[in-house]
Amino acid sequence: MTERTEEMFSDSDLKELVRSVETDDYKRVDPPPQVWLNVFAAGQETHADVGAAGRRQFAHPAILRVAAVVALIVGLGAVVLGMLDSRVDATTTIATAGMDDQGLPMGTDSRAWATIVCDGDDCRVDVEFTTLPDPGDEALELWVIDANVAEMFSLGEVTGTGSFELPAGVTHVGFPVVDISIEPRDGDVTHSGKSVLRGIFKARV
Amino acid sequence: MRPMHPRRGLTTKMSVMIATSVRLSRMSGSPQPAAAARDIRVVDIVEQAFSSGSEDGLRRAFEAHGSLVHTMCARAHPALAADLTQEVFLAAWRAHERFDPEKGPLAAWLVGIAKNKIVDSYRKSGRQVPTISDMDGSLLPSIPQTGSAVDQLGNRLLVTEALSSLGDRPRRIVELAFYEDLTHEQIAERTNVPLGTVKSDIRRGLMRLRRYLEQRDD
Repeated sequence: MTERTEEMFSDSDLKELVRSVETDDYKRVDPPPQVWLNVFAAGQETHADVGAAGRRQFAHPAILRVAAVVALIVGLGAVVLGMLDSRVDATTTIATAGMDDQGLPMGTDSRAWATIVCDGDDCRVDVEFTTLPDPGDEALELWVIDANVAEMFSLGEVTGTGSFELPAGVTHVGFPVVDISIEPRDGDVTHSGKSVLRGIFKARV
Repeated sequence: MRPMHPRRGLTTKMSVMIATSVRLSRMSGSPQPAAAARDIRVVDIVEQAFSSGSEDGLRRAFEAHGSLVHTMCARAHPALAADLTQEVFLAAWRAHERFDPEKGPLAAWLVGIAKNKIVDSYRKSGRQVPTISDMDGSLLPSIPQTGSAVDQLGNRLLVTEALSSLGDRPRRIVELAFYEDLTHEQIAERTNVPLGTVKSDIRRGLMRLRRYLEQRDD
């Protein structure tokens, strides 16, 4: 890999650069889902190769694709389990959801990853953030919502990456939507409607 | 914590919002910097997981920065964007031990790798590195300054990352200083923020920009 050379910016350079930024520069394009699968499959191989016969080098995208496909075919089950079950304790990962602001009225650059983890009948939702959305003077609250949007449970106030107990009997099947809203501190226990992050739980085998 | 009871009778508005939450095809993101990041500690968790090579470090890095890297690749080399994004993350993962959070953010390190991969890709194919396409496919005006168009694109994307990582107030103050050329005193007057706070916000804003833009990989 070639080195990135250091650049030095004076205050006026920085000002010029900031002024050159256009609205389009704030837009982001997500990679197609297949990219992550390929990265993960090849990343697993790279990880496994380190310390054995040295690091495997993928010099060309075509080789990379072949390696990824082989890894996917041969070890799909192990790959999926390995990807999702990174914990070393006895708990089981039941479902996961990537959370973003698509289709929501409150824009945020934050992203979150929610995971339902169970130890026997005791289940919890672990939530991790890239960055925490800024609720201003209000609070962030985590919810699970049913597919008909008829029932929802509040799992509690969110102040950062953390774990939230799931009430007995509440599962990702009955409550597939995971949602974080901005709630005024007004004592009203109903959802404010101001959702800032949302995802759909997908079951893990 | 609120009591764990089901809530019934959501408003129509809420139902509509759920209905529109179906994932749309790409081009996400807001035209302006959105809600500010305020929990740097959480970002550090991603960087620490990545740099330590822990099992979910690659996933965390991809979750946090996949869109940034892919945006860079899609705008610089649309035909090979997916391959390049893949190469960037694998090269980064193989070299994770060289990433040092003390020297700069992971986003900047990945953009540096992306820049090299994009330029290498054009060189391998014997093609000249082109001017950069706008989001709608039109070409941006050529950039006369020194440094390649790919460098410029990477720097502009890192500026957006840096500004978006500031809180609402400091970002607004930096924008007033840079875009509207207001003096510190004028900004303090317009925003009703004490002059000392304005000065420290601008100083911190410049530090944040340099942290994103001046990262070294040595």
